[in-house]
Amino acid sequence: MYSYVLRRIGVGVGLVLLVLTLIFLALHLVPGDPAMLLLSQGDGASATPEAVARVRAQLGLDEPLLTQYWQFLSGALTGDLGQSFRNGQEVSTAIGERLPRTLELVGLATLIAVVVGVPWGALAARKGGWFDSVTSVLTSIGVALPVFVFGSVLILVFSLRLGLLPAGGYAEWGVDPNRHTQILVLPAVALAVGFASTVARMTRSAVLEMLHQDWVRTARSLGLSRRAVFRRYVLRNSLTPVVTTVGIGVGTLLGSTVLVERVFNYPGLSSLLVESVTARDYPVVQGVVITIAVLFVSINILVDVLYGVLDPRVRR
Amino acid sequence: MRRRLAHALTPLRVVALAYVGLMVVVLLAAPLVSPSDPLAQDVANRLAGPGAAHLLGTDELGRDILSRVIYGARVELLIALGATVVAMVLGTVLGLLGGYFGGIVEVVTMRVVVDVLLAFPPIILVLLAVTLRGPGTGTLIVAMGVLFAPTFARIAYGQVISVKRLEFVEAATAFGAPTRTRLFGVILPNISAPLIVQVSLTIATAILLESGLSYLGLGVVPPTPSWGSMVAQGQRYLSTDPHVLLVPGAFVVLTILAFGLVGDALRSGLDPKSRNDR
Amino acid sequence: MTQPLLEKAPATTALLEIRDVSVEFGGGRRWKAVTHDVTLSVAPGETVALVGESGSGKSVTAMAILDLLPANARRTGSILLDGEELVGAGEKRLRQVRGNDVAVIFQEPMTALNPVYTIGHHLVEAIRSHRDVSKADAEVRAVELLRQVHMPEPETKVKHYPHQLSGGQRQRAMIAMAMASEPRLLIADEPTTALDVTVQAEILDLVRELQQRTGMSVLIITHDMGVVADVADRVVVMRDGRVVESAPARELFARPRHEYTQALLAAVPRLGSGAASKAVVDRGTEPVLRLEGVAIEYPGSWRKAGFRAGDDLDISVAPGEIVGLVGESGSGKSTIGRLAMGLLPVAEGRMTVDGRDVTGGTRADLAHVRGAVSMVFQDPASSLDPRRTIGQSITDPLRWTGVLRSTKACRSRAQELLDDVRLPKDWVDRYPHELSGGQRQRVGIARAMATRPRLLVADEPTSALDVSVQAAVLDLFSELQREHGFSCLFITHDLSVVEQLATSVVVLQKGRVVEQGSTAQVLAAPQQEYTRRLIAAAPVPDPDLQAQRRAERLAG
Repeated sequence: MYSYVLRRIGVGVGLVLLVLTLIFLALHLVPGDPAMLLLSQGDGASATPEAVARVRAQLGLDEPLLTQYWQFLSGALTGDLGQSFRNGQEVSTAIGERLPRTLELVGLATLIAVVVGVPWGALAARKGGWFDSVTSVLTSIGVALPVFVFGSVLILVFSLRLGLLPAGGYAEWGVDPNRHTQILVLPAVALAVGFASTVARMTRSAVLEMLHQDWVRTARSLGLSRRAVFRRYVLRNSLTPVVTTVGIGVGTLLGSTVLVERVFNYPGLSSLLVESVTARDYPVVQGVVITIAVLFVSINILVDVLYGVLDPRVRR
Repeated sequence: MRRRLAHALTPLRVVALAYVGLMVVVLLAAPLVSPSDPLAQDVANRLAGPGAAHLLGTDELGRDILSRVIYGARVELLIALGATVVAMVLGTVLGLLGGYFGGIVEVVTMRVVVDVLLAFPPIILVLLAVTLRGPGTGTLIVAMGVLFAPTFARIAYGQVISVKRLEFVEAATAFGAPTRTRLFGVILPNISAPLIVQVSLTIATAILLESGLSYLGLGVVPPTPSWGSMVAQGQRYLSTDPHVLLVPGAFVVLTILAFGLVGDALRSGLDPKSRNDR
Repeated sequence: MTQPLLEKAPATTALLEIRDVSVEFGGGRRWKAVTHDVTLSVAPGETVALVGESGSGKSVTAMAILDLLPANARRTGSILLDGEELVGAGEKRLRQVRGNDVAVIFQEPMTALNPVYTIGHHLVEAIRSHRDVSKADAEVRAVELLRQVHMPEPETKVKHYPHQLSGGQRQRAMIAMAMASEPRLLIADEPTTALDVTVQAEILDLVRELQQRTGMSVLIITHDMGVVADVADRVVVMRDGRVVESAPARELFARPRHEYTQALLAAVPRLGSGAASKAVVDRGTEPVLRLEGVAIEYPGSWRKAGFRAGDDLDISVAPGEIVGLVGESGSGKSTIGRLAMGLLPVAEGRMTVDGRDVTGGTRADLAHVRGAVSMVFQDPASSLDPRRTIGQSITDPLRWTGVLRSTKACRSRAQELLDDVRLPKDWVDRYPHELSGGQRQRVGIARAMATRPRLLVADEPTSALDVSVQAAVLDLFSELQREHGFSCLFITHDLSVVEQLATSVVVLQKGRVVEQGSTAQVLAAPQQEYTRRLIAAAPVPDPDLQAQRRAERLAG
C-alpha cells in the first residue's frame, strides 16, 4: 500500500511537469509571434512596436527557448507566476486571494452532490419500478442543465420572485458570516445539480452491476439478510466506481465555476480567469490554469489512493 | 434484434430522436424555416413577450427570438459536430494504437497525451486556447476536438484491450492479416458500438461547453446569434422580461437532453451488456 | 415424451426431497419454464450427483433448493428438507437454513468471493451469520477451519485477498466457509470444473474426507462423468430441464437404461480404453516441425520483466503425426502452439518448419510458417469475428495471404470447406451467433483447413464443448486428418483425448518437457513421477475402476 501511494504521487509529479510543459508550449507553438497575438484584439489590427517590445520583455520572449523553459518551470514550482499585464500585481498574490473562495464553493457543491447522489442512485437501483424510471428522467435532465441557465433560473425564482436568498455578490466570513453562507447556497446548488445527477446515475449502474455478481449469491448462500448483503457487499463494492466518478466530477466542477461565478457575480478564482482571458492578461491566465491543473492532478492522486484503499486488487 | 430495438426506444427517447431530427432540418434549412432575419430589428416591439407577431417574443433590440434561436442552433450544431468529428478521429486513433501496440506507444498515447489533456477541466483548456487565438468558430472546433479526444481514446483503448484478447484477433494475426487490416478491419468494427454512443454524448457535452463559452462572450463572435450569448443578454432583463433568457436557455437544455437521450438509446440498442441502463 | 426412468424411492426418509420442481424465468404475465417437474432425493450421508450437459437445468435446480435464483425466476413444486417445506417458506426461515443446514460451494471461486474482502473476513462472516460468536473467537475459528481444509499456512492465508490465492486454494477457502456451521447438506455446483485435474482430485478428496467426518450429504452438480464415478453414490441425469434417469452409480454406469444416458456414456473418452490413433506416420522424411533446445519468452514491458514460458524444448512432429501436448495450466502447452504458429519469437534454440529454419522470424520466415501451419482455437464463442459471416471468416486467411482475391472465388471455396466439415453449404452467409458451439468449432476447423496446411495446431479445440459434441468434433477431426494427411500438434489437458487421438505425447510441466514418447508407451508405463500423478488424478467414468484408482492414489 505504501509503495502504491508513493508510486501514485510519483506519477502525479510527472504529470504536473508534463502539464507545465504543455502550458509553456501552448504559448510558443502557436503560429505567429505570441506577443503580437496577445496584443491583437482578434480584429487583425496590429499593435504598436513599443507595446510588442514591452510584452516580449515581460514574458522573457527574447531569451533562448531553453532558458525560458527553465525560468518558467522554476518559477512555477516556486510559486513565482509573474505579474499581471493589467495592474502589475503578483499573479500568485491574486490567486492566493481568490482560490479559497472557489474551493469553498466547489467543496460545498461536492458535499451536496455526494450526499444526495449516492443514496438516490442506490435507492433507484434497489427499488426499481416507477422510482427508477422517475430517477432516470430526472438525472437525464440534471446532467443536461447548463449551470449558467439553471443558475439564472435559481436567481429568478429564489431571489427575484421569492426574495429568499441573495442573487449574488460576496461577503467575507469574518465580516458577515450569515450573508456569507446565504450567498453560497444558490451557486453551490447550481453547481451540484448536474454533479449529483451524474453521481446518482453512476451509483445506480454500479449497484445494479454488483447485484449480479457471483459473490452476492455467495453472501446470500451464507444466510446473510438482504439488508446486510446490500450494505456490506453491494454498496461497499459499488463505492469504487463512484469514487472515480466523484474525482472526475470535482475536476469538471473546477471548470464549471467559471460560469457559475459569472452568473452569481462571485469573485473567485474563475472569475479572475475570465476577466483575464477577456483582457488577454496572459500571465494571470497562465497562473490560474496552472493552479487549477495542479489542483486537478492532486484530486486525481487522492482518488487513486482512495481507490487503492477500497479495492485491494489495484494496490500491487 | 427487434426486441433490443423495442427495449432501446422508450417513448421519451423517440421524442428525443424526433427532436434531433428536427435539429438536423434546422441545420440544413435555417433560412427557409426561420420566420425572419435574425439580425432584423423591430424597434417598435422591443422586449415583446411571446405572441402572434413574434412567436417567442423579441429581445432588447426587437430582434425575433425564434429566428435567433434557429440561426443559433445552426452555429451551435456546426461547432459541436465539428468538434466531435475531430475528437472521434483523433481519440479513436490514439486509443487504437495505444491499446494494440502497448509498450512505448501506449506510454506516449495514453499516459503522455491523454492523461495530460485530462489533467485540465475541459473549459479551462479552451479558455487558454481562446486567450492565445482569440474567439472564433475555427478555434473552438479545434480546441474542443482536441479536448474531447481523450474520452474517445480511453473508450477505444479499454475496448481494444478486451477485444485484443479474443481469439479471433489472434486468429487474424496467425492467419497473416497485415497490421492495418487487424487494426481497422478486425478490431475497429468490433469496438465501434461504444464509440458511436460516445459521439452522441460528446455532441451534448460540446453544446454544453460552447454555449457556456458564448455565455462568457468567449465563444462565437457577435453579432452571429448563439444560445449562450442570448442567455447572457437575457440576464440583464431577468427581473422584467425573463423570456429573453428562458427561451434560449430552454433550447440549450432540450438539445443537450435530446442528444444525451439518443446516446442512452444507442447504448441499449448497440450494447447488449447494458441491459440495465435506461 | 418418454417417461423418465426412476428407481423406487428409498425406504429411509430422505434428508432432501425435491418433488416436481419447475423453475420459470420471466416476469409479469410471461413465464418460461427452464426445468420441468424435477424429482430427486438425497439421503443422510449420501452423495448424489446431478449430471447433465449445458442447458440441462442442473445448476438451476440446485440453486432452487435455497432459492438462490436470480430475481426474475420463480420455483414451483415441493422441496422438503428433513420433512420441512422450503417452497413458500419465508425469507427469514430460508435465511436460517442457508449456510446453516445447507451450504453451497460454487464453480468459479474467483468470482464467488468478494474481491475487496480478505479470506478471513469471508470466514468470519460465514461463522457469525448463524452463531453469536465474538469477532475474536470467529477469527480463531477461521484459522481452524482453514486448517481443516488443509490450506497451507492458514494463519497468513486469512489475511490474504481472493486474488492472492491459487484457484485450488480459493476453492478450499470456499469449502471452509461452507463448513463453518457443519451443514447437513453440501451443494457443490461444478466445484472442480475451473481447476486442474490434480487439484480437482485433491478437492474431491477433501470433500469426501469432510463428509466422512461430519456425516453430511452432498449434492454435486457436474458435467464430468469421471467426477461422478469418483464421488457419487447415486446419479440423477438431466436433459433439457427434465430428469431422464436416476439410479445408483454402479448400476447407471454398468447398465444405463435411458438412451440419452447410453449416448452420454458412449461419448465420454475413457483413459485406459486403449483406443489408438489411426494416423499414418511417415518418419522417414524431414519432420514438419522441429524444436531444438527452444526457449520462449513473453516480452516484458517498461515496468514488468519478461517471463520465460518455455525452456529447453526438444519436440518434433513427423509428417502425418499427431502429437499430443499435455499439461496443466501454466505448463506452457499453449505457448508452444503459439510459437509453432509464428505468434511468438524463438528466444533461444532452433525452430524448423517444413524444412526451413525459421528461428530468425524474418518476414519471409513468417510467410513460410503461415503457408505451412494453421490453427484451430479453443473458444468457439470468441474465435470467429462476430461481425463477419462464417464464409468470410473461413476464407479470410486466403485473402490476407493473397492466395485468393475475388469475392466469388472465396465464396465457392468457403462452400467447399463447409462441406468438408459436414456443414450445409448455404450457411456461408450466416453469422457466428446463429451457430451452436460445436458448429462454430467446425467452422474454425474449416478456416484452419483453408490454406491446406502441412501442420495444424489445435489448441484445446474441444475443451469448451459438451461431451457429446466433443466426440463428434473429434471424430470429424480424425477423419479430416486421415483424408488430408496433415500433421497435428494437439494441445489438451485431457489425457483420454490424447489417448484416443495422438500417435505420440509430450508431457509438459512449468514450461519444460517432463516426458515424451509414443502414446501407448507413455500412458501405459509412465517413467516420470509427474506423469504418473497426472494419470492417477484423471478420473475414469467407471465407479469400480475409479474406486480402485483412488485407493491406489491415496496409498501412493
